[in-house]
Amino acid sequence: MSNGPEKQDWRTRLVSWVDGDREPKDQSLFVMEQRHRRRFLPTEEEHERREKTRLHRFFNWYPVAAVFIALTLVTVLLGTVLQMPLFGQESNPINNEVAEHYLEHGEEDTGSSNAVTAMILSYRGFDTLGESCVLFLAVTSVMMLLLKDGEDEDGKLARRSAREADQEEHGDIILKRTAWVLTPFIFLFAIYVLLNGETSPGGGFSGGTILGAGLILFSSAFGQRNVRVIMDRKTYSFIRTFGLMLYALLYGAYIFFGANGLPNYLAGMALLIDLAVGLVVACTIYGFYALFSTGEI
Amino acid sequence: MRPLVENFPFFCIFLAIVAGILSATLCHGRVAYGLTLASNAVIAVLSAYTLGYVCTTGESFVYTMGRFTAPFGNAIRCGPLQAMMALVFTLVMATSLIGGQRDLFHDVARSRQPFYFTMVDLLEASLLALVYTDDVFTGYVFIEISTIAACALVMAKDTGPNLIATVRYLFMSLLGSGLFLIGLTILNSITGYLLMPPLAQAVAALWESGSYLVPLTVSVGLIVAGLGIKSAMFPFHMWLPDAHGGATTTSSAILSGLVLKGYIMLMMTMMVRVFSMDLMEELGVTDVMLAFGLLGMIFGSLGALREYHIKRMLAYSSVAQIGYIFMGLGVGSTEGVVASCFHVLVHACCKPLLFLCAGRLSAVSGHHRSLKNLRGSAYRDLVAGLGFTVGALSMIGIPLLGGFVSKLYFANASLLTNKTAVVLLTIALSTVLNALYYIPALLGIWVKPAPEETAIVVADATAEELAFDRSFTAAALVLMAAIFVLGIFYHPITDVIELGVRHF
Repeated sequence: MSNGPEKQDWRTRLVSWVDGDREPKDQSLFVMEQRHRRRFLPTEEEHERREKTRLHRFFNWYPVAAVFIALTLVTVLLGTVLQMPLFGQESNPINNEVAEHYLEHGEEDTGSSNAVTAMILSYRGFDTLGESCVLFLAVTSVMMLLLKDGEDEDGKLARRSAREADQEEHGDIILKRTAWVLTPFIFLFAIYVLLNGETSPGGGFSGGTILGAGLILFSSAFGQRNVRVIMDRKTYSFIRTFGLMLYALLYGAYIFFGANGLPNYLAGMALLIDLAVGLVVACTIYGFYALFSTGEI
Repeated sequence: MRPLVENFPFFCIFLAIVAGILSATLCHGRVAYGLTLASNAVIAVLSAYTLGYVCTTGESFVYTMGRFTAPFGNAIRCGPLQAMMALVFTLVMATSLIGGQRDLFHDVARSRQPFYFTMVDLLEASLLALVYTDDVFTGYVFIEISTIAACALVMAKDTGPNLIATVRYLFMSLLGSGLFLIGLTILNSITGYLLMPPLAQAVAALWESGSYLVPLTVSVGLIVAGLGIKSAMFPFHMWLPDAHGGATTTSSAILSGLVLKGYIMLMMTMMVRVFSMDLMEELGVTDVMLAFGLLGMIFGSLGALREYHIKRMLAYSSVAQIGYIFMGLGVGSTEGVVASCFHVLVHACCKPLLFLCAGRLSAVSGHHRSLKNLRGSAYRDLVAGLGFTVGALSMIGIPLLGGFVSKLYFANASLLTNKTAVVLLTIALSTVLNALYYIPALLGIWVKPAPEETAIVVADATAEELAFDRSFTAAALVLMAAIFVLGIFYHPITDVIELGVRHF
């Protein structure tokens, strides 16, 4: 083909234009002629230097901007608070029929004399299910980030476990003795709070937190190895998912019955839901502690 | 006893949550992947059925979550618009998962794969809940879920830059959620409600009586700003290119195509159902949105022009496209909202297609990302090249493709207002800018470089990566078909949107 080389030439010119390389001479306008070749791969030092100047420039204006934004927001919010209804006044908009209904009819509607429990488990239970999912997700994402996955990257794992062996058991005798005495009572109290959410202050969230705190105390005094005797990784995952699954299934059935006007078959479910929420919360609290301290459960 | 079909929106949310919990118990990523796809398929069927039902009745229905009716218990509300969004979001989610499958199992460590699908499932649940919710606090709870899940999707491919991008994304997201929550508490303390219908009445009464004007204004501002930060409205978009550009293909597609849209749908619901467009206009919120939208359209494109990393270029282009949506809301008319909803659909199909194709093109070029190294890559996977072309042309706004129709609707919506000139001129300028970075990219992937250069690039790719990718091809073909449908047979879709906006 006679136009073969010419076509090739046209193509290379187009390609170099697409890449942002220097414009081919015969077509170039005067400005393009002077343009430098775009550098795709700056050398490492060059790159580092550029990053440093960028960071430097950033830190020059960052404090000014941050203070300015924070002050503006503070002014706006304080100004708003001055205009808002005064705290605790009877005529406030929040003292409307909703709050009245929760307090007056809470017990007959839901069967729990604790108004907070009635609200979080029955009236606005879907939000609580969402919040439990948030806790579940938070631990799952920390597990994704920190859990050791068995692949030893350049001996990191070995060094880490050597360090852990030192920390495994706390040497302090006061801590050990106190934990030895207190842990059973903390667990007992946690179970009490968990099971009495309907009638007294407490419930799944507070009970679960106490349970988790007890586990943390035990594991910080006696080392995680001893916790693993009663709860290894598999048991932990099982309890965690079992709690949320139980909650989701019970609550799903509850929503279905309620929305379709079917009789309320699940009158006594508050106890089970409290238990399920408690398991989720306890696992969240302990999971954070274990994952952030050793990266294992 | 209500008709069974009215339970379907709740079943969908619930199914996604259960699938997420189940995925966390599985040991194998492949099994969790199958479970996620199965649950998405069921959700899609249920949503399609719901859509048919609400379109025949022509009305929305409220579904109480439990025994207690509004204003005491939680509720969700489903109309034609909500059902359609749920259907499209689910289908796009499944397609993104299928299309990016090979990259996904390559980039995410084996022990983390089940967790990845937990995140995807709960993200699906939160998207559905954000679309369907009739309760502002439920909206907040599911914003939290999608924040965590979205950050985890970026983090799943744990390279250094990705972790930094995740931290940035997390900070900006939390700032957004925080502002939204402060806005809600202020709103609750001056109205006393959380459910949307009584809240709307209370807001209207406050506006009429003129009491608590400052707190009302501030709370509207905080809610819009909070959701704006989370959906990458123009001056708050700095986190987006790193987070979306660095993640694995499926994550980028889901984050760009869907997660941003969930927040936008909640913002639309708040604007239309709770505050009403008239109030937004009188407070001047729509003008601010219009200004940010227009600026976003220009600066997003300018940002994309500077990039030579293909996925970061696409991420900047998302900023511009989000600008279009806010421009539609900022016009302040029903037509503007309809145009924005249509653009949500178009972008939800287009951007995942572009990300999937970009991921595939870079996979056949040894995972190089710069446009220079992608030269001629379209010939190594024709479908990826075609998909990228269709997506890019739709973004520019070529007739017969979805992007053209949404630009037409935006232009139409602006005609009835006094902002016609600025909107039309910015659309024109933005179209030119879009063309300026998409056309060189298209030429780049379609023009064959010298054989020796190709050899250097291909040497980095394994035979496995060069092999035909069936699942990607299927996903790309589906999304391409969707873009053509949105561009040619758009009338039934816009009819449904108009019906939905009337019964928001």
